[in-house]
Amino acid sequence: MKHSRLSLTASFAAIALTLTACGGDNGDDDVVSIDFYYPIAVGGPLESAMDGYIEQFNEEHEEYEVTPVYSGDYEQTLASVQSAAQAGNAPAATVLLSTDLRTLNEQDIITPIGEIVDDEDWFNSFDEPFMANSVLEDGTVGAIPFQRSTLVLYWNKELFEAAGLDPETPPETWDEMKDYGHQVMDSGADWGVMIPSSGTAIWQFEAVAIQMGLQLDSEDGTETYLDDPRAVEALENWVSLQDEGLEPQGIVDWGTVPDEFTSGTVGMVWTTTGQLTNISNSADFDFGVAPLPALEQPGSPTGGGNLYVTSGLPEEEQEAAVELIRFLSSPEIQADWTVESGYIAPLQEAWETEPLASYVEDFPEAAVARDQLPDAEREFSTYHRQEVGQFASSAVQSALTGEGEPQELLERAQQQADDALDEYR
Amino acid sequence: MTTTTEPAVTTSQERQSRNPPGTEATKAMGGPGAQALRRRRRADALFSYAALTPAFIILLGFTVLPFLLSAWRSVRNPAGEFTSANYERMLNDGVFHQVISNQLVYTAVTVPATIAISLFLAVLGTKVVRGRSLARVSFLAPAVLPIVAAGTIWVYFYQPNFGVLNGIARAIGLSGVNWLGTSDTALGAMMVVAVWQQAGLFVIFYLAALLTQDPQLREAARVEGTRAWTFFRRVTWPLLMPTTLFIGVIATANSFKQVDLVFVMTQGGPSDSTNLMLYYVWQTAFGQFRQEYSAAITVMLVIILLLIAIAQIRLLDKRIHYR
Repeated sequence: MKHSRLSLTASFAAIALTLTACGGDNGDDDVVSIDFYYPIAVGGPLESAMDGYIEQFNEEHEEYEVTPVYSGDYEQTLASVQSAAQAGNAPAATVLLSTDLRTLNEQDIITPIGEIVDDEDWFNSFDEPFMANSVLEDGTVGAIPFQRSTLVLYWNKELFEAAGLDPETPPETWDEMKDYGHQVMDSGADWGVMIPSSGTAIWQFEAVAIQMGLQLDSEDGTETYLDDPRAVEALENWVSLQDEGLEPQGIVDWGTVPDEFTSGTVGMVWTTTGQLTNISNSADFDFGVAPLPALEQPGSPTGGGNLYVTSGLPEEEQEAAVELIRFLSSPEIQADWTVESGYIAPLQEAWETEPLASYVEDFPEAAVARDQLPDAEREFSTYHRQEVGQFASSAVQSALTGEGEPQELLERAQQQADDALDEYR
Repeated sequence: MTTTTEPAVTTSQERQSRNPPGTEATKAMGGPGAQALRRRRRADALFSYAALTPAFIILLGFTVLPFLLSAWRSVRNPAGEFTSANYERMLNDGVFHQVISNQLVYTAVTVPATIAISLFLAVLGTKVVRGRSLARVSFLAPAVLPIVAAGTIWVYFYQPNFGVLNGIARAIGLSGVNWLGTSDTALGAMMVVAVWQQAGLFVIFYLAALLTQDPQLREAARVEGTRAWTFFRRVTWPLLMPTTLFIGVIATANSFKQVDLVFVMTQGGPSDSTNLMLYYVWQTAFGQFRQEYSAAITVMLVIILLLIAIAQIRLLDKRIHYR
């Protein structure tokens, strides 16, 4: 008897729960409800800032109701969006890596925004090096740049001064960088220069390659030039930092480089503009931010995300998603988001908008990334980007850990990339 | 994916408990009370099936079914035709070969190391007289830390420039090592964290087993003048076998499920030297958009796990004395 009463109660509880779970979606009929998934890849209390923007959007647009969903880092967000799309429940708008554009389009996870709206003025308002990772090879605008970043050089002014260098003059070339590195080490610094090489080392490798005058992939994303003599020379240059004792042997961890720098024992580091807020909060010494030094030419790759509209949406949800993206990419929001997060606003108008305009006046380091833009290039974005990127990253890491010569390692990576990209040629 | 190890464990338990209690009764059938007895048995059977149903549904829905779907998916191409391309790809995928060899090294080292260290600590733990509960809590401390937190802490221990380990090394005049930054040491460094993380939990199991052993055995051995090591090898260790099997199975499963430390500490690098199977499954499924290939690797993972589980149970079953 006891059994049956218990199981009866349990079944009622289960049914009740199921009904409650199903009940959530029936909102008002005239309000279009959509989800927006966004990742955060830099430190700080940024969720509340983003939730604030969405709240503002919902207030300004009575006909739309957007639910913001913080979805971890970029990798986790991509996984969430893929899973949700397979379950037929994809968020209408999302932020994913700009370099995944081709694959997302090919897998039919997104609808290129240029196919939904045709607004040349809007598309042209974004900076060219950023837009380059948002356009498909047939010229269709695929997505809108968002929370972008680039590599810059941070230098420790106190160590420069102690070494008898001008603390206000960062290196402009690799020769200067090495020379200054040796000088700060001679006067007591542990290391001269650190270029992180863990994880996706391809981004930093791209920077050196661009400085050699080489873009590592073709515009249409089907070719890589990893075994180009300039790529080989770029990697040899990087390895030479270790050979000269300026950088520790082996892999330099991406995640702890800011801590290495703020511990005051490293003369110069390369890392993303996204670390600026973090570093300025933890460094108890004066530091400067500069464009990366030049080999044949100065240069740095861009990186970061895009705002995407997912595919297969009803028309009104698609409109809501585009409206949201318009709002989030507006100069007002971009100016605020750049101050909050340290990402680079991808359109010039934002830099003249408050609060960013006065922020840059007080804190000129924040503008270095923008000033570097004329030398910036689009990010490596072939088909199978993560896979091909990993071949290149592995080659870089093997060279830096002394497991082979740059020439043969890059030739092998090129071979692997050729195999992976063969189906698109 | 992470639950795929469970069927192996469950089946072993089932096998042991499935000695049908009714065999005796079958012989007695045909007597006057046989009708009533049969009805009673049918009711009992129905009840036990009903009781098993929830567990069975969960096992089926979250383990067997996803596995079958993966297997189905791994032999189909995106156009929906049957293909063996995903398995052929494995043969030529250098990264996959590296991943398999990393995984085998990782399992072959972490499982015995975990058993040895937790047994050693447990034996020590039985000898602690004062502060017994403090000692046991301190064994358990690493196990209750979230793996991500543990991994992050160790990243800083291992950091070549300001990390604790190299700080000690330099203090005693050695040159530091870039622990996570060279292919030779990265996997080893990660295995140390994994063993440190899980050994504490298993110490508790060994302690429980050791403390329930009959003290008369030790007294008898003392009367006979048996040396401590012989006693351990001939009496304690064989009696601990059920615990050791349990720990071995769980530690093996853990080693194949290890993905958190890879995420936090190395992202598989340098040059894929710390890339383990589950992490590669994740990379191919979500980062590389090769879900069919990822499904094929999952199938391989399950097959390897099943083989290991069968081998463990077959080999060790013979040497285990259950009371």
